[in-house]
Amino acid sequence: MSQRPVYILGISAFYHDSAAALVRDGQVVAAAQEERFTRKKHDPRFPVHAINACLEAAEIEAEELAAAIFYENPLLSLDRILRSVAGAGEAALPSWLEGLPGWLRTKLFFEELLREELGQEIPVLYSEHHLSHAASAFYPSPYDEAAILTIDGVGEWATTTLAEGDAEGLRVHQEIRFPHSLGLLYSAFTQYCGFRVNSGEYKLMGLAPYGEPIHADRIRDNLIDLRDDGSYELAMDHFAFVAGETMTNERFHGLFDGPPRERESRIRKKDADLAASIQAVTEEAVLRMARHLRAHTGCRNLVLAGGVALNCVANGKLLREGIFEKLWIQPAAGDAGGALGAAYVGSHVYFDVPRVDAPAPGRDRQRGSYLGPAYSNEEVRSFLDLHDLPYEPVSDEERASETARALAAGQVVGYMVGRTEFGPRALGARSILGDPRSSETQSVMNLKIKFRESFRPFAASVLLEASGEFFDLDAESPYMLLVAPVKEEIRLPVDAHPAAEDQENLIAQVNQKRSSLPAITHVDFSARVQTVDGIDKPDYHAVLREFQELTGVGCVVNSSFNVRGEPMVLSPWDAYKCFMRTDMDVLVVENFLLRKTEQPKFEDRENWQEEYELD
Amino acid sequence: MARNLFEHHPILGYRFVPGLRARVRHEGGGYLVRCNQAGFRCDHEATRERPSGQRRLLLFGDSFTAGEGVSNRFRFGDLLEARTPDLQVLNFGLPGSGTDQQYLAYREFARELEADALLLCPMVENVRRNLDTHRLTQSATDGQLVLRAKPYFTIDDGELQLHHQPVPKNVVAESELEGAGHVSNLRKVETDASPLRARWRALGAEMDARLPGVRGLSRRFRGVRWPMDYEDPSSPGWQMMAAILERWIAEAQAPVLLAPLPTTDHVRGDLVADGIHARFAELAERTGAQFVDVLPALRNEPRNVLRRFRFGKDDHPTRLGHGLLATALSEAVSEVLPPARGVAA
Repeated sequence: MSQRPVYILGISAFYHDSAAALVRDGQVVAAAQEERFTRKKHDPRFPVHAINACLEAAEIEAEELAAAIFYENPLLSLDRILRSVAGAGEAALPSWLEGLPGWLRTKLFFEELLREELGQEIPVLYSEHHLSHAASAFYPSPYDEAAILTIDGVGEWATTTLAEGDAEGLRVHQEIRFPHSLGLLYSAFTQYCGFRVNSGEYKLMGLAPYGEPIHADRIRDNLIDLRDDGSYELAMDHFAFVAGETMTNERFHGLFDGPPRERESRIRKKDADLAASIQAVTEEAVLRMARHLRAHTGCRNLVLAGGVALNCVANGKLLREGIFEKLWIQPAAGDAGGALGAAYVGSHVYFDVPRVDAPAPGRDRQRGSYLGPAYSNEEVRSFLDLHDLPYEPVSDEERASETARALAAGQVVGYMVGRTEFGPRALGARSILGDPRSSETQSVMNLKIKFRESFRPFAASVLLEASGEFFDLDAESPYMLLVAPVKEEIRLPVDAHPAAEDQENLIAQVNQKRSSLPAITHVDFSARVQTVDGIDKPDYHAVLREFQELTGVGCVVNSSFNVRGEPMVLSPWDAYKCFMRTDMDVLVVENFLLRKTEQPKFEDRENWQEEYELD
Repeated sequence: MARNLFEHHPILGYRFVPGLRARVRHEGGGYLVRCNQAGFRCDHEATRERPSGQRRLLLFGDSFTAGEGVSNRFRFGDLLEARTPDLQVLNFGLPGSGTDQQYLAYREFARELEADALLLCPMVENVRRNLDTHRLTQSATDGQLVLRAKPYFTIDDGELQLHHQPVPKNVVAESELEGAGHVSNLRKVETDASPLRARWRALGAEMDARLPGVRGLSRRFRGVRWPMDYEDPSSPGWQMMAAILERWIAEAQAPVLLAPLPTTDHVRGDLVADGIHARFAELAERTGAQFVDVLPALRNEPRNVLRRFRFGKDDHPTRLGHGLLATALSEAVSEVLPPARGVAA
C-alpha cells in the first residue's frame, strides 16, 4: 500500500517579499512570490495568490497538506521588539507602534488567515527565521554535507548564523544577534546613498565599481568592530534603526560629511566611493566568516542564504578565494526564500521526511528555480486572439532561431517561456534579452526599456560550455549569483585616469567600451553571469546556441522582464503591457512571437509609470 | 488575476481554455479546475466513441453543473460517475450560460458523440439568460466588469432564429445597446420589479444578513413564488427556454433527462416551486423527455444539512450540496441507462 505523500506548505509574510513554497516528500514542487500576482513590488501581505499557485502546480486539495509552516517564530520577534523598545526608551516608541501591528498580525491572525484562505483547519507549525534561511541553503543544494552561512538584516534575534548541514540535519554553531547586523549596516549605507532599504542594496552593489573604497578604514574604525573570525559588533551610537524611523543618525552623517543623498537626485562620486567602501568591508567580513567556518566545520562545501547572499560581487570573491571547494547559493536568498526553507524545515525536521537524492551528481535540487506558474500555449493563444493581436506561432526550434536572429540584428526581445523564476533574478523565463556586443544595448535598455538609473550594469547569460571564452569563472552560476572578471582576451583599453569631471559623470564612464561585450562589461571589467545548460532550461539554451551560431558569441544580455519599480511580469497580459509601454522590439510568449511594428496602437493610461512606486 | 479561465468562442461566446489546469481562490478554500481539449471542465476527452465497456452520459448546464466552488471530482456529475458502475460522464457545463448556449454546446461539441443519455440541468434562476443579447462579465485583463455579446435566439413566426454568429469579440459600451439589447445581469437594467419592490428586496437582503433565516421564514410564510417566469407559461423567459429545450430534445440521439436545478431557497422550502415543477413536467410530457424533480429528495434532508448545501456568500452548492444532488439524480440516471456489464437487463 502506497503512503500518502507529505505535502508541506511554507509561508513567509508580513515583512517584505512574502511568498509560499510547496514541498512534496522533501522535493520542492512550487514556489512563488506574492508580488508577481499583486504587481506590488516586495509585497509583504499574506501570500494568498502564491499559496493558490503552489496548490495549483501540485493539483492538490488543501486538505492534502500535512502542515503549513511559517518561516519565523513570532514570539521571538516580539521578544526582540520589546527588548529593543526597553533599551531605546521613548525614542523607540514610533518603531514599536509600527512593529506591533505586524507582529500581532503574524501571531494572532496567521492561523486565521490560513484557515480563511484554505477553508479548513491545517496543522500549523513555526520555524525560525535563520533556520529557514539555513534550510533553504542546504536542502536544495547539491551537497550531502556543507557549512552554512546565513546573513541578513534581522530575523527574530539572529542576523548572522554559522551552521552545518549533513545527513543528521542542521546544526547551528554560532550566531550574531541584533542589533549587530551586517545586513543592516549595508542597508544603512543603501539609505544614506539615496536608495530604498530592502530594495536598493543591489543598486549600491552595482554602484560600487564606479568608486574607490576610500572610506573603508573610516567604516572599520568607527562603525564596525570586525574580528579575525568574522564576528563583529556595530557601533550603535551611529545608527538609528533600533529606535526606528531611519537607519542612520546625525553622528553617522557627520562621519561622512553630510546628510544622506536625496532619492532620485544626481549620484555623486561620494556615493560611489561610499558604495565601494561598504562593499569592501562587507566582502572582508564575509571572507573572514567563511574562513572561520571552514576551520570550525572542516566542510569542503559552503552554502549561503539571507539577503546578503544576493551580493554576487562578494560571492564571486568568496569563490575565487578558494576557502571552500564548492559554493552554492539559494537563488531566493532573501525573505521569499524563507518560505522554501520553512517548508524544508517542516519536511525534514518536523515530519522526518528523508532528503531526496540529487537528480545527478553535482546537480542541485532547486530545479533551476523555475518554480512559479507557467502559461500553456492555449492560454496565450486565447489571450492574443481575444484582443486580435498579430502574432506568429513558432515551433520550439523557430522560437530559438527567431529570437536569436532578432538579437543579432540589435533588437531587444521580451522573453516569457516556461515557469517563472523563484527569487529576484530573471533566469530566462521572464527576461528582457539584448545583444551584448552592442555599445547601445546598455543605455537603450536602461533608459528606454527599464526606465532606470543609467549606471546600472546588465547581466550576461552565457552557454555553460562557452563560459570560459568570456569570463574567469571556474564554476557554474545557474542563478546569476556570481560576478566574475571578464577575460583579459576580450577586454579593450580604456582611459585609466579619467578627468575629474568624468569621475563625477557616471554616464561618461558607462559609455566607455570596455570589451567586445560592452553591454555586460561593468566599469571594473566584471560581469554578473548566469551560466545556462540544456537541462533545466533547454529553450533558453537553444536561444543562446542559435545566437552563437549567428554571431560566434554564446552570450546575451539578460535583464528582468519589468520596468523600474514593477515586479517581474507573470502573465501574458503583464508581458504584453510591458512590451508595448517600452522600446522592446519583439515579444516571445511561449510559442508565439509578436513584433512591435505589427501591433495595433496600445491604449494605455498616460500616467502608467506612476503605477509603480520607484524602488 | 493571474490566470484567465475562459476564451472567446465564435459559437458559444466563450468556453474554458482547452486543456486548462488551474486553481481558483474561493470562499470555500479554493478549487481545482481541469479542462479537456474541447474546452469544458471535464477529466475525460470528448471522444466520439464511448470507452469500451462503458456507458456514457452527456451532462449540460451552467456553473452549478460546471461546479463553481468545488474541484472537478466533487461535482454531482463526477459523483454520479463514481457511484454508477461503468459510467462515463462528459461534463459540458458552461458557467454563466443560458440554455441557449448549452444547446449550442451540444450542437457544436456533443451531437456526434456516442451517448446513452443526456442529462440537461438548467438552473431555474437563470431562465432570463435566454433573453440576453449581452452579458456583464469580468475582463480577463484587468478584472473590470465589461459587456460582451453572447449568442441568442429569437422566436420569429414560431421558429427559433440564432443571432450573434459568430459572436463578436469586442467589449460593448452600455450606451451602445440603447434599448436594443437585453442584459439580465446588468444592475441598471430594469426588471419588471417596481422601485418599491426593489427597495423591499434590498431591505430583505439587509435583514437576512443581520438575522439569517428571517427572510426565508418570511417568504415561506407568504408563499413567495420565484422566478415569476415559471408562473405564466406565456412569459417571455419561459417561452424562450421551452422553445430551445424542445428543439434540443427533438434533436437528441439518446434519451433525455430533464433535471432543473433549484436554488437553495427552493431546496429549503423558502420559495414555492410549483410553477417550475408544472412547466418542466408539461415540457417533458410534450417532448418525451423524462422529468427528474430533485426537490423532494433534497427536501428530505434535515435543515442542519441543508444549511450547508451552498456556500455562505456564493450561492453555488458546496461539496455536500453536490453530493446531495448526485444522490437525488442517481436513481433516474441509472434507470435511463442500459444495463451495466454483467447485469441482466
